[in-house]
Amino acid sequence: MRINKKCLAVLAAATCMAATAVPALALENEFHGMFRLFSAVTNFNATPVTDNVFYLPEGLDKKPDTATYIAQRARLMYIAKANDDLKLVTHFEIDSRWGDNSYTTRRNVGGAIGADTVNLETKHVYLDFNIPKTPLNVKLGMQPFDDAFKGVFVGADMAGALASASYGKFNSSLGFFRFNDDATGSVPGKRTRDMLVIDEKYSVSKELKVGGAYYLVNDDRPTNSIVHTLGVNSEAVFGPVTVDGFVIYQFGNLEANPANRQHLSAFAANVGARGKVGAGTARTEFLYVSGEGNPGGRGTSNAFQSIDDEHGFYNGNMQLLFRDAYAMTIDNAIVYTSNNLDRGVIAGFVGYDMPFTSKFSASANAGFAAVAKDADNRKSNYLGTEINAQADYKLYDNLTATLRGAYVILGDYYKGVALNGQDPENPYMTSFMMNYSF
Amino acid sequence: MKKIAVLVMTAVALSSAVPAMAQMTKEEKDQCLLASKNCMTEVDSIQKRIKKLNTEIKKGTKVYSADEIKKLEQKLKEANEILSTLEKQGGGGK
Repeated sequence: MRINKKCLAVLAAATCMAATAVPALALENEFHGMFRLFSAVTNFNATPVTDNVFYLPEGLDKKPDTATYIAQRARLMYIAKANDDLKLVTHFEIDSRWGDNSYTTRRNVGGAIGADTVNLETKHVYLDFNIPKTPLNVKLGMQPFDDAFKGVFVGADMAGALASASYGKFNSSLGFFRFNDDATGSVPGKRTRDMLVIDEKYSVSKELKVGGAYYLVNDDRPTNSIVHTLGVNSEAVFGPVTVDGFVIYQFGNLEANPANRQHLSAFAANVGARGKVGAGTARTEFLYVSGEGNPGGRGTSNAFQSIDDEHGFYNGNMQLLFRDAYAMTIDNAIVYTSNNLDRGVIAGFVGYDMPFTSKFSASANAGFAAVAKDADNRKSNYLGTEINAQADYKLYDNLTATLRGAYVILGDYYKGVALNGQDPENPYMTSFMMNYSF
Repeated sequence: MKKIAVLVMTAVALSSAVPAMAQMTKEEKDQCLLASKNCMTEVDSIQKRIKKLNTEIKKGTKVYSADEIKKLEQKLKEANEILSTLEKQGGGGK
């Protein structure tokens, strides 16, 4: 009996201790998010000349109406973290333009009086876990993925599986993503567009990193196109200056048009540099993407095959010439994709970022762009030059107010293309933003 | 024996209650209600977390082992990735 009492007392104490230990085993709930208010006055975004995301002023009034709009975006992220090796990541988005619509069921609206719109978008739902006793990390599900080439090929949310491992100076990734599975009139898994990813990075030293990546995109939807994208990249530090860049070659078969099946032979290259100059940071980038002068008219196409409009080259910090990094649902550009309507692109950029105080900073940028190949017999390949500037003021650590302005001097590519053979008006945009993230 | 068991249980129960009691004394103002500060459920913003991680990594091997620094660097990488994902461009779609 005495032994039993002792046992009971020990058991009770152990139970109490176990109860107090529960919080350590509990799930860690992590919430993050952002809010952006974007207001603009422009003759470019959301006007007839950019109705199809690209800038297409051909045959339209040379002077588009001035658009003024206020749009907002919220993103909410919830991470259910079991421990450092296992978590579920979910990420949602709510977009609208003030006054656009209400009491409806559609994405990107809900800004009209009354609100009450079903407009929650799911961006990510994936499991992120480490395999015990190995250096392997796995991400399974709808997740963000960016290519190893500054976004000229693909950078989007996509469903798939990505396994990565860091060992010594190497970092390797192997992935499979399913872009589309068109089961209409078929069964799942038959008419798909998939991507296989192999990515390797090697740190030669603290100052030099080299890497290579291979992306295989197989499209079995209408016919059977296959695109191999093979590239190398590097980043080197020379004192205060960092230089990086890449070279990509693409080959394969394009069979979207069965009447004219084409071989693909295309390439893209980039070099960029940034470094401390005075109190600020100077940046420069150069980009070449090959184009096709006779789209669909030859047995071989030189048009670089970027993935739809699911990517963007943002390193030039452009607002109109290339896609604007702060654009939300209203998102237009003269060069909207790397493929650039099969024309390719040649572009160069310079910029300077200046922190005046811990709260106030500013930056200025300039960039030019031309088509690599002109299929329309224009007066010139030259698309235009953009100059832009922005000033940022931090109201709090995580709330910034930003005022920006951008202006493009159009090149002779657009000479006389507007209605009645007139030159289209040079595009401009002034914008004001509030950005909060937590 | 019974007494010892009761003592042990009381001590354990009290130890788990300490954090809640340590939050506020009679003399202190409730800063959580007053200014949304020092709340028990308060968590770091992603910016604050990045700042904290950078501060800890800078302490180096004087405070942390090489493995711990590697772990902190991994957490910093994750925090930076979360911030860049939140602020990532695009997503409008057509």
